[in-house]
Amino acid sequence: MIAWVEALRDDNPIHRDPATSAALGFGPRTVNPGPTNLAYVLNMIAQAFPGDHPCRLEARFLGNVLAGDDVAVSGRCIGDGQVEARLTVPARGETVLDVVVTGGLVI
Amino acid sequence: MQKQTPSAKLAAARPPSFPLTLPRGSFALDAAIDDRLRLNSGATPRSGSAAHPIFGFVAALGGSGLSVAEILDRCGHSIDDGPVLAACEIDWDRTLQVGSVYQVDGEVSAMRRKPSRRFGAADHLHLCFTVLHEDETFARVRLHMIIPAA
Repeated sequence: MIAWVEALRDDNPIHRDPATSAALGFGPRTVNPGPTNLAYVLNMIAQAFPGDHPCRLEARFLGNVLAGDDVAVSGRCIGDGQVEARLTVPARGETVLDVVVTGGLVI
Repeated sequence: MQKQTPSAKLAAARPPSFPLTLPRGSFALDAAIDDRLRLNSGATPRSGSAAHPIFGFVAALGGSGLSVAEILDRCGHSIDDGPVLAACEIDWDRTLQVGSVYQVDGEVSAMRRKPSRRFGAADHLHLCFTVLHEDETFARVRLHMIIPAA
């Protein structure tokens, strides 16, 4: 997480300090930065559509990925070059991120 | 009890007006940082000079003229309040390239207080950023953050 919060210049203590994370109601583990969770989804799409580049993304953050969680990404094509994707934490049966990505950006 | 910085106290006494334009900032996107974030998210290695698309977001926030903590401070909040991201939209107009320095323009569009089941009350902060290189737009990012206000 440290690499991400440094790049984002995000000093939010929930990403660095488990005690603060717990005090703010997130539980006794640090919270993954939202853009990291988005990157997992973009990685899946890059593997499914090599050479394509996204031109638009809409995301809703529904929950949190905590330090030590395993996550799963799934997605389906919904037409017009769009993929609807979801990031889940299987151990909790929780969907933490819903994303719609539109591809087709010309470099 | 959270400590409030002097400017946050002033902001609380005199609420900011929106939209609040942020000073222009910059983000140096080099191969090392692209490699580092790819490694830390399980991405495939870079092919050519195209950066990972998440740099649309990373450059916007990391290159903003004010950090997240400074933006919250201007809005009468503290980073120690534990803000969370509720939603975002990214439009990529061009593929970001490693070896480039991008300029970032930003604005806090609005802040609205709403009841919150989790926090009692929360402020909903809407921000937008434009990532540019030599006056060409590469990415536009809109963020919706929620900050406990009770």
